[in-house]
Amino acid sequence: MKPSILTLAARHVVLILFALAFLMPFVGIVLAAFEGGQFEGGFALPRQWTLSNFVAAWEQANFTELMTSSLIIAVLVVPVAIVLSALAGYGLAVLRPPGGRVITGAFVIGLTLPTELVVIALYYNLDSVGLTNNYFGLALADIALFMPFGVYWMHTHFGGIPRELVESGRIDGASDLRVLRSLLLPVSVPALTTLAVLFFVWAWNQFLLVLVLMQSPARRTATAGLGIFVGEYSTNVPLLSAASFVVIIPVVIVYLVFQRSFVSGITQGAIKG
Amino acid sequence: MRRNLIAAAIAVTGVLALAGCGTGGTTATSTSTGGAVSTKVPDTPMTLTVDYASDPPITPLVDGFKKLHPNIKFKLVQTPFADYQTSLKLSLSSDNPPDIVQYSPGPMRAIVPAGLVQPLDGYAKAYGWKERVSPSLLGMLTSNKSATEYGSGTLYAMPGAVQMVGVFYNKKLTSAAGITTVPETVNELGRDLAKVKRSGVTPMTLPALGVGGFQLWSALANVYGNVNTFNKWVEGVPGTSLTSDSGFSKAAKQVQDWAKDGYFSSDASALADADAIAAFSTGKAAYYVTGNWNTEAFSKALGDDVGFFLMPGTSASQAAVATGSGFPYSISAKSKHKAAAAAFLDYMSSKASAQAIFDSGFVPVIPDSSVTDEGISGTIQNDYTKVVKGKGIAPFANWATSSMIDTLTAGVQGLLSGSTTPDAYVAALQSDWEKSQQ
Amino acid sequence: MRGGMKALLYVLPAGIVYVCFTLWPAFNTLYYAFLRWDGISAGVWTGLTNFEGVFTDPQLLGSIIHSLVLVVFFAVIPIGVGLLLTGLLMGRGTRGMTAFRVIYFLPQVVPLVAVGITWRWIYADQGPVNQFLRAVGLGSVAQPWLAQSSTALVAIGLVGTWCMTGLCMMLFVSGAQKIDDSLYEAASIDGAGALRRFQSVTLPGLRGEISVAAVITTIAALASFDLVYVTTNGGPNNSTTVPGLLVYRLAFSYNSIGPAAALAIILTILILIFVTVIRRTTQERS
Repeated sequence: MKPSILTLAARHVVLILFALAFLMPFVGIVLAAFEGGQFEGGFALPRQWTLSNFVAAWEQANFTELMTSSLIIAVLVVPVAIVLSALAGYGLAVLRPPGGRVITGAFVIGLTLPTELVVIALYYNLDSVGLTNNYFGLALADIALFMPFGVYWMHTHFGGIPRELVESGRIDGASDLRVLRSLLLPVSVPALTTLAVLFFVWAWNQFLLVLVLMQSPARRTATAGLGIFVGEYSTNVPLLSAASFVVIIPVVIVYLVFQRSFVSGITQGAIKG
Repeated sequence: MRRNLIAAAIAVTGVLALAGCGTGGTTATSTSTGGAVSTKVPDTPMTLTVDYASDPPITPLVDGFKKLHPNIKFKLVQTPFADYQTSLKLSLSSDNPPDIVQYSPGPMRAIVPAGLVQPLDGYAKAYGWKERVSPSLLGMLTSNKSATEYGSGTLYAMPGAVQMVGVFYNKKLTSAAGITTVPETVNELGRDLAKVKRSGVTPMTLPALGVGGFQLWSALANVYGNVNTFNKWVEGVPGTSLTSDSGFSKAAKQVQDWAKDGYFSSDASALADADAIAAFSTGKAAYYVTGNWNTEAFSKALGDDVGFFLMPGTSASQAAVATGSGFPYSISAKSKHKAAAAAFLDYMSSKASAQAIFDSGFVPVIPDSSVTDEGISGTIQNDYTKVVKGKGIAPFANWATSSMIDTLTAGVQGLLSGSTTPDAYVAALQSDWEKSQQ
Repeated sequence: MRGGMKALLYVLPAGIVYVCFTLWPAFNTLYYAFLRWDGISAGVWTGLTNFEGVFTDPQLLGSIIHSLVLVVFFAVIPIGVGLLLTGLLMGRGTRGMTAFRVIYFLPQVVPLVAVGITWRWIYADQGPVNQFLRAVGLGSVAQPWLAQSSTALVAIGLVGTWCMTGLCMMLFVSGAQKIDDSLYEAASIDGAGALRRFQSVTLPGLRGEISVAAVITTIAALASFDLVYVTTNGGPNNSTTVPGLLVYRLAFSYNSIGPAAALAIILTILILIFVTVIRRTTQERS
């Protein structure tokens, strides 16, 4: 039963209104960031379009170092977290070790543990082994944080693959590792892509952990650097907006390119959950 | 299912037992001060790392020192003040601490007892610091080993410049409001604020999200209350209480009354220090009670239009007093270049650095009478001399405990909104103080 | 039982990292909660003092209450709005859902730090919100939202609503699309109107999605840190303190590790309680 034109129109109006509400702040950031003249406080087209705020923000916040740090962390965290999640998910879903239920349960609990629970002890533990203010220390902390979701995601994914595929590999005499590599991974690309995108975004946006574990301003990630930068320049909205823009852009681009993966990651989690 | 439960229980108990490891505390690397220390600066090339939050005065000090010792390079690491408190503790207790740090009393209360800061008595003797520098500047830098009581004990930091809080004003805006003379009493200042309000300008910018909010209260507390009580309170002398003198509550009431009269902007509680600096520098407010660390920024923005005077007293004849301190620096106990660092501390507090410090808007620790000018820096220096001759420098209120800065900030925000009474404000400060005394 | 011990090897790498850098620190935190410790010198056992402190210290208790208020704005309102819209938007013919989906998820993708910074100047005295109010004649309502203890928490809450509503909407709309049409037809035949159909078919069908949405948004509210740190830092006058902020402050500014750890433990317990309740109430009554 196709709804009437009026209903359809009303629906679209509502959807568009909400879309505007969600977009407004982003529009505001862009407009303010390009303002070369006196910023008046609201959403308004810039009186003078300029790129100077971006240059100033980049220099004053030392974005070269911040971006490098964020990239280093991303490169350290994402691949390792994916591999660990895939291995564990495979082991739990396909190979079914003893105590598998308890292990899965232990990971799932992690989905509800807040960072605050872990951050204090993490600081002192890492400090005693010299891993504070250190990319590896932060990377390991991030990876651990992502394990619950990663293991759960890959467990669910591998569990959904028909057993016949696995059995056929076994009959052909393939080892467990072979089965994983040659049979299962090729069909897991979408699931792995989703994981990669989510991990990248979460690692990029991480703030509290970086604030506590990285003391050198040069080693902080872009997000943490921004959080601290705001303390210094809170009145200069164009400058702050330009800085915010710089920090947001990488995740937004990754999101737009991979948005299908990203969305499926969240929505499919619901079905199985 | 039961088997899994038991296994889990055993695992948990085991982990909990093991979890105890790691809280044993660092072995304090307390270095003795009695050993002979040398005032000879090594002439081998070296790099000193300095952690700090505010600049100036560090850059002029470093530049001046480098000229005298070209073999010494400096690596300056800055963290904004709000985060400096946290990062200082983390960086000094790390394996690669800086050599010199800008002293911050909050975190120092944990760092000093852990032996992470170099006691300076040995160097003080060798260089003769205690004879050279005014005792009111060294008071808060001297404490017992557990850092609970100040004013006597071991010296843990040296002042590099004198910072002082007073009233900055915009000459153009005040004369446009019909104000011709600097106020001599607090009441006169109040009337001046009213005049500016009538002229359509925000009278005073008050950053109550930052430190500016309670620095106004401190400035008023200094003139309304007993300075000796206040000093003892900040120094942590047991038995001191702010509630014993009604002047502190009166100062809080003054802040609240001025807020009711509309002398601050309506969003004062969300105004950060940077916002207030910007507001004053662009002529949006006529007065700003803050310290001389902002002198350079104001001079650049307002030129000769910026003026300064000490917070006036209750009567014209009241002895001059102001909140302030030496801008202190400490040496890390794990530093590998202690002699050089000590030489830097000596330079900071000697006449040699006077010009560099004066030019940056600060008051030199040892003023050189030949170093002065007719402008704002000269005014501030003269006022400092008045204070030294009067009741002296009163320490910053937030130096009283490590949590005091937040209690003060929240308290002033409460005063501004009317939800906290002046007496409740003082009681909150006292209760925070008493908690840390345990 | 297939695989046996060899299977454990596959789980080991993830397990080791997870245990060392999440579970172990979590247990450590539990241990710290029983101590009086400044992070540098040796710790002293104080039993349950710190836990009591969480409930007797008005600051600490206040932070918990504030986070519960945030649950209303981060979870209840977005889920309500999401369900409402799902009811209105259901059915075929809606074009361009992909584009809408991209936009609706956007607030979830960007760092909360940037969100907080932006909303700070949006709420400012001369910011867009107040400008708009003045423009439509509601100038008397315009106020410095984040500068007043009476409005700051709600203002922050609404930022959370902005963040979470899109997520909830998309979760429910895509979930609703998976509900079997025959269920709706059966309900129609029974004479059920639109509202009844929503109640008896849509809502139950969205159990999973509601559960996930509720868990994600509730945890976001209770464990919030980034947003508050960047907008009000707990002010004005401690009216927007949240447990996350106080844990950070107590541990790293005041060197009071014990109380910080106790607060973190209580926060975790609170989260677990909420998650359990959510899962129980949305469970399939089979």
